[in-house]
Amino acid sequence: MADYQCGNVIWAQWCGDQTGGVVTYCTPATGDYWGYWNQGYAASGSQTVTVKYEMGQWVEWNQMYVNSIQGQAVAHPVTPADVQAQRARQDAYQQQIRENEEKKRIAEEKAEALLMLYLTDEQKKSYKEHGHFETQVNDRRYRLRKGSHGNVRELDKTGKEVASLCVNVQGVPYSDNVLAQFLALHTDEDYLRRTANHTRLC
Amino acid sequence: MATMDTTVIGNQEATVGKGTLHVLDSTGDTKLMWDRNNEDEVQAARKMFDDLKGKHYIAYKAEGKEGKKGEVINRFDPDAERIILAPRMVGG
Repeated sequence: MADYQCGNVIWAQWCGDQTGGVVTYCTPATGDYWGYWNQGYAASGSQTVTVKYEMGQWVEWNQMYVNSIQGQAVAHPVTPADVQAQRARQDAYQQQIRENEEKKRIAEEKAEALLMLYLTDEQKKSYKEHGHFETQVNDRRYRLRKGSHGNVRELDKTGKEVASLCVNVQGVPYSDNVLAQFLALHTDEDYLRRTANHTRLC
Repeated sequence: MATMDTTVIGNQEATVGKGTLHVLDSTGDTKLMWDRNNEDEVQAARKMFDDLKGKHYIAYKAEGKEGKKGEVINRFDPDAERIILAPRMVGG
């Protein structure tokens, strides 16, 4: 109701419609929107006359106005049932978020357990404690970080990261991605390097 | 009741005489186990392998011991202890 358009012209038109073409105005009646509107008009305008007051017509007029002028759906008064329904939708949405987070957590656990099968004890420890581990492939050394983008780092002889290789498997948990990168590095390093976007880091 | 021999591989227990396909996906991985002596199970595993290879998955035959990296395979190996099928990689 408070958001409805209710300028003087509109009000005058409404009164005209209601009274067969004769424009009359309301006596200010406090305590409701109708009264507030009239009060505002009276303060800024010049006339204060009596006209019928009926909340039902006011609501109906507003609904008609919204439909015909704005072409929008009717903004009906919010009922307790509306509030309850909205709360139920919000609860369902939050529940869905929680369920998705739980699925992601379980998936990440499974992926990490599979990755662990391929790591040495030292690599496992580093991955669990620091979120990355290092591995030697031919004459290059790499650091694989838990993640999905730019997480393969090429190291120099001092252990400094000199390049980021951005290559990944999409739609899998981080540790599955790391496993795929790890296996690719050790079985077909050229394939991984050809596929990756390279960024020099120094 | 018959019991199955098992062996610990990494931190997972594998059943002797069985192979496992691990298909990497959003759930972590989907597993399919087959008994090497059961032709129906072998065929089911082979079919899944071939289907996913047709979708450009990369198959790694893993040796199953810590630190061993396995090899890329293009044909299903029923004697493999573990095969990991990973979706094709893309440059980021």
